[in-house]
Amino acid sequence: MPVVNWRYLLSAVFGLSIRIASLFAIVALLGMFLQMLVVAYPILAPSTLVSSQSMSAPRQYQEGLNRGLAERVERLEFIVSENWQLQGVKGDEWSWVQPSSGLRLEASELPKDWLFADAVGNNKGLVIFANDTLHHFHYLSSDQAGDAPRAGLVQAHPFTGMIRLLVGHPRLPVVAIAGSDNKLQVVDFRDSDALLSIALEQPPDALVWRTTAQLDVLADGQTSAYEFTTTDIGGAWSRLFTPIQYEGYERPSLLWLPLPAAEEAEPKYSLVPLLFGTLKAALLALIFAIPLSMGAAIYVGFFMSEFQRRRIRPALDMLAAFPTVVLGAIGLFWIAPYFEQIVSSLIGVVIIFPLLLLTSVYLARAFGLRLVNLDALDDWPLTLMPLIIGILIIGSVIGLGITSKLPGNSLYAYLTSLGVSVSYFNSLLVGLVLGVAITPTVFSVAEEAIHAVPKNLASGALALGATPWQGYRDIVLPVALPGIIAAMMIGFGRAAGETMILLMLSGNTGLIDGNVFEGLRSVSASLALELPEAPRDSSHFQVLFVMSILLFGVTFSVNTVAALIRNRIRTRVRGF
Amino acid sequence: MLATTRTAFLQRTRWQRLRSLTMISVSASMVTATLLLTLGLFALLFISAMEWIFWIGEGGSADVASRLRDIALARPGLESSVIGLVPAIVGTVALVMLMTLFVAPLGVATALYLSEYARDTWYTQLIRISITNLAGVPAVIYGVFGLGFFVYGLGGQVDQLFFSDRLPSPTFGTPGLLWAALTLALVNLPVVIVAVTEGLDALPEDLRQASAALGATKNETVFYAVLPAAMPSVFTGLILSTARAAGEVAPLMLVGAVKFAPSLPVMTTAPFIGLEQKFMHLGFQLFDAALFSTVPPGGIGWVATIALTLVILIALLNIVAMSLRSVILRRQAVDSPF
Repeated sequence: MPVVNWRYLLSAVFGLSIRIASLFAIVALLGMFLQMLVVAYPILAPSTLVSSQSMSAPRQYQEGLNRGLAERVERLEFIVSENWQLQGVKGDEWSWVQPSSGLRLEASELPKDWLFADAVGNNKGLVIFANDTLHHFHYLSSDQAGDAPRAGLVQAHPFTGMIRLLVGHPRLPVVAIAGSDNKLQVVDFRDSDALLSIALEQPPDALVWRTTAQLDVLADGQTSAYEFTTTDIGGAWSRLFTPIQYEGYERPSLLWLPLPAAEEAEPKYSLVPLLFGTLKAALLALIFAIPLSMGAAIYVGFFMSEFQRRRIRPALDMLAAFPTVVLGAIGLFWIAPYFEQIVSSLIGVVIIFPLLLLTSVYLARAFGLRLVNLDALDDWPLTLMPLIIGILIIGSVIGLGITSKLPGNSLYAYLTSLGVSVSYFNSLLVGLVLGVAITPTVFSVAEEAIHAVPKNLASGALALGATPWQGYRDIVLPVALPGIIAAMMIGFGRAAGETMILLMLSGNTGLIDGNVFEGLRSVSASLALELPEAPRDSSHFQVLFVMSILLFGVTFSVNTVAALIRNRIRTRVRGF
Repeated sequence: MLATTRTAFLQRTRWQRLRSLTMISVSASMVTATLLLTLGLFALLFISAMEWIFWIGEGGSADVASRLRDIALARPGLESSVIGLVPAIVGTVALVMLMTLFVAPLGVATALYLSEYARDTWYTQLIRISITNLAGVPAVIYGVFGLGFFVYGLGGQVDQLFFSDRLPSPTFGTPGLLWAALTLALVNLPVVIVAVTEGLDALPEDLRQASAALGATKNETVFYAVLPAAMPSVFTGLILSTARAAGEVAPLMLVGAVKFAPSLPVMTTAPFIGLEQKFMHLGFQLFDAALFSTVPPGGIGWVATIALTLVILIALLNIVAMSLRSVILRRQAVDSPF
């Protein structure tokens, strides 16, 4: 009877399962990116127009037929606002009409020799065909109430050929055109290159947008339907990043308004405000985190003994035990309400801190207290604690005193009088709390980089008479610098992807504004806020996926560069 | 001439020493400030929570016992937005356990494969670097992936195959415990892989050679010699990942945490765990309470209580992980003479 080696068999099964499981994990982790691309891709797909069905029994489209043969139409009226109408008469000027008072004003900005015109985009825009050109106008409200509105040209699009019918899309800046050559064309003003064309069998009597996606063509007692599929950005991905002239806006703008108030208005997906907000928050967080974490990293990594370092690191790592949602709650309840005072105190502390520290250290030396004893450096953080608490208190008092002497008697009042708007949830608040959140990460990486530099290098310099700080600055810092930069990059990546703090404290206003006292909206907060509500496979959903791919790409590449830098130092210091 | 040079030198030296002193004291004070910050934040939460719990009298609760019972088990009512902590803790624990169930085998297997089996080629290097960097990718991205792939993709398929009678109302095609656990497993997979790989790399090579010299195959070496020796690092990685999972809220907002779930995801009868159920989570509860519960007796004290619970839970997990790590370090010190 053959002897079964169970140990061998078991380990062989184990080895096999390790391979399978690891393959699974690696595929899952690396496939994530691909899957997100697959979900997001349709937003970049171009618009299409396909014949969907044809019905023998004609539906009654009285409205369509009336509006239909525009050659017969000599006079058009469009509703612009509650008080104003736009009237066009063939061969004559356009005019603004106020029906209640009968007031009539000339609209000289609109082309005179028009052949066709129709409203587009929820009555916010107008497409006029004149002089072999399709003009897309939009209405602008006047500066003064009671004045006539104005029309602004969004885009002019050359169009040759005879037009038989021209019908605007109910929601988007899109028109359907039936040419005399029996061609059905759809012109999308969002992407000027997009011109969809399909051949018809007989000349149509009317075109009707039955829904936003279905175009009905009435011809010879028959209705045939065409399906017009488009994304909210019309397949033009550059619209995600460039200023867009939206209907009703004074000038081209970068806006993130995925769910506009009016039901049928065009959603606005510019990623620039969100990317700007993310960048602003991350940089402010670095400004707060770097002094704290770098100072601590230099001290723990270079000036402390190995023994003390091992004891103090876990205590410093405890800051990482505060999850970001807790920091967000702390910011919401204990920082935001007193933020004006906190900023004032911080200003005072920053002014007074070096001054007082220098004086007290110098005094200590003058009175012969030998604080600078290399053996006693371990205890410095604790011996300095009363001094630092004192400095913090004095600094706060001085800062509050200074700001109360400002015109307006408070910091915010003074800023407002300077024309700087201040909001309750502002970027500075986010930066402060986010800075606390990334401090443990930056500290830990920077400290490792500084500590990795062999101490005997600096000891040599100290033996030759260099001061300890010179030993650090001239010997250790040049070697550790790439690691310190890597630490900042990792901190930046952390701050850019942080969600809860931004969600709770940033005010979530999509502004592009350098003012640190204004709110912001970040990519991560938008994802957390909007994705649960976005209908699956809608354009909004897909744009959010594009956003998360961008965030993924940015953080992943920042981390990769940081990892490469760290690897390089590791090989550089290995020789010692 | 010489005297002037000497004086200049001494002056420069004095200036350098003063500067050194200043820079050292500034960096030392940053250590102090970080410690003060940590202590201060903890004290803030602790004092606010205790003040609220033990505050009896006007506007407060009748007695401490009923206050504690409310904190543990209250259900949302018209006059109170407080929801007891126990369901949230149960939800968090169920989520973390389920996540560990996924992340432990996958993470350990991947780490073992990458450091014991795989040949050292450029593409294994690439995979290693990618996995390390995935640990720095924001968790909300994993949440987005989880929603797109697990909830809508896999969940939709599962519904069509097994629960087609309940369609169109989704069973698994909606955020729930299983998908949240899988998403968090993905978030933490890189963390576990990195921690276990570090532990494996720290093991002395002699261990593997001795095992091979005794006639063990590669599989036997890994299974009977390397893995038992690397157990502390496996546990460190897992505990760190549970600590992270307990504090991570952003991905859960996308894949299944809710303000109030009428029933617990764990039950006393088979199948014991409601994989498709939505669940409550301590971190999400804190988020919700901080933003939306300002009605007394909620508000500041209640928020502090939830936050304190969460911080203590995570700090405990971290302390356990840290002491395990020091066990590993000590063992290495003993092993190194070999």
